[in-house]
Amino acid sequence: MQIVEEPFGSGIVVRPIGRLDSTTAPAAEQAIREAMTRSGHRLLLDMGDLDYVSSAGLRVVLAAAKQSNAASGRFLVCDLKPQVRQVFELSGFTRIISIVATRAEAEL
Amino acid sequence: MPARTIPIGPTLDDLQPVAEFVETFCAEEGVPDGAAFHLSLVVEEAASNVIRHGYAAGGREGSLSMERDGDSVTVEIVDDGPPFDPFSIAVPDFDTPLMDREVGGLGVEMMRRMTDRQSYRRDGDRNRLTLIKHI
Repeated sequence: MQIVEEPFGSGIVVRPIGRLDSTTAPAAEQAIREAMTRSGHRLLLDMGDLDYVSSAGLRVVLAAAKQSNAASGRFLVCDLKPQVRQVFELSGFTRIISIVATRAEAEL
Repeated sequence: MPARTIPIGPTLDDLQPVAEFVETFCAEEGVPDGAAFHLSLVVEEAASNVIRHGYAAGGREGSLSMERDGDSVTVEIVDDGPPFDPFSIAVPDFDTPLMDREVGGLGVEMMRRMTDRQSYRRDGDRNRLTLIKHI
């Protein structure tokens, strides 16, 4: 999996590409954790190029949300593909994670 | 078509060939995209349980079999780890606040919600998990 990172507003946007699954989750978790710290805990996770998220991937998203929350930061997720949104909904993540439709609607 | 089978390797990296096996199966059997996505997910959840629970507790052999029969696909995951019934795991409480939320139980919840029939039985010294999905 490739992860693209760039400045965004007062923080950082991170865009993982491909699959966030049991195999790719450990590296993604580390990359996002480090970006979260560098960004002053203001991070947008752009899922526009993510085709697949399993519970291992959800664990990464949850860890990022907790990390940001613990530091009174800001964590947003945007651009969920329909199948990824389905996994978020089935898992109750749409209730606990701040989700916006597109990057243009995200403010950090 | 007879069932196709692939061994489940010992590490989480070994789930990559398992994922490719599911994709190839679904493509060759003409499984629609939505159902194929669900099958990929439930296989990953079940196979990662074999690695995390079964192998970590002394199991050495696990396998995935898939078979299409008419309008349904049967997924069978067998391993020789200690008895482990995934459906004994509680459904996650979605009202738990963020900081107390954990991911445990979500994989099993996906199996329940993304397949039409689920069963577990201890078969001799093996766990046998069967998931059936109508496509």
